[in-house]
Amino acid sequence: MQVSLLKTSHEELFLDQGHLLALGFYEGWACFRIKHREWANLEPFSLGEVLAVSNLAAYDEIQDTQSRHFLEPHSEDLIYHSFWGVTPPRARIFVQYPPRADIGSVLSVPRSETGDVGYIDGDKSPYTGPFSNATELFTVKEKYPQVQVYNPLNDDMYNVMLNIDQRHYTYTIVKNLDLIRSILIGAARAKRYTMGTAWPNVMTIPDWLKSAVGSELLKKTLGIMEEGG
Amino acid sequence: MLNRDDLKTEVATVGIAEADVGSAIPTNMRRFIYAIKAINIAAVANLLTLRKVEDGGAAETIDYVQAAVQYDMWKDPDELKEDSAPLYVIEGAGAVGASHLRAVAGVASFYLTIWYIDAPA
Repeated sequence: MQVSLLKTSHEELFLDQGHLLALGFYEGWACFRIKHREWANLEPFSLGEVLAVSNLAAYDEIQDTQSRHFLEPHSEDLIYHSFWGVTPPRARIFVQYPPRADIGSVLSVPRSETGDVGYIDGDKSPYTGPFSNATELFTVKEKYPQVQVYNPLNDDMYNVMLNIDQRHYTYTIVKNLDLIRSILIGAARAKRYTMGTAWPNVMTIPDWLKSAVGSELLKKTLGIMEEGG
Repeated sequence: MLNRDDLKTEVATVGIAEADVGSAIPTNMRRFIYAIKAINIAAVANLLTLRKVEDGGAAETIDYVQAAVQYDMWKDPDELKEDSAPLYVIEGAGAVGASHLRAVAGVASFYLTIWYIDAPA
């Protein structure tokens, strides 16, 4: 609680209309200009009871009763930008994005979901905010995260809940190579975000987005990142 | 700093046999006890002894609560505030064994309520 007061509010990290965004995939960087934005939220999202020194039975994909993912855009025309906090504060949230790719591992071996590695708890990202930068997620259609909870206490947690703050962006794909170069080398003010894990592999790009951006352009962005253009 | 989302309550009936109060304190954490309430149920004067066991070691007395007559109540602090300091801090389980708050009454019995947080710091 003390520490969180010193953090910058996550609200200042949301993008505005006209801002540039680069999402890094395994195949290359997809660059966008934000056209419009809309606020959205989900509070609370209940992950349910977590018994003492236990986990959930399985990862939770953060869905509604119709199995629709709250953190996955419902249209290819949208990018979701999300931050979240958790209560009770001692609940440890482990994130996989995409599913089966651990975020936040320290060692090269698979992360334990009962340990002290690679989690965000309510001290780091309080339910009432401001939310930790580590919770930041950009999602496009067909890509969504899933979460697991560990209760390290010897008392049961009756109900672990997430508070998710989102912005929905419509966008245009940037195809001007000079502007893309400026975005990727930092000459233009833009948000650059690695999709999923940095190691061993960044997330693969969905087919629809690969077609929209173009394979050749994606390859060129890799060259720009490696050699600065 | 006291975080209300983290605060938990434990209620126990304390008899003349010393016993654990609440769950074991997790490894790499501490139990910060922010408030206690004790009510003497015995029809005579009574003494409540609070003790702690850390890392499976010997029990160590941390406080006493006296009651002159039946239904005497001791509540500390009078008002719990966000910047209240904990009354007692008990270190979590270590390599040797578990850690607990313990309590014993001179005469059966006391009702004891504690408000606490388990946290690394």
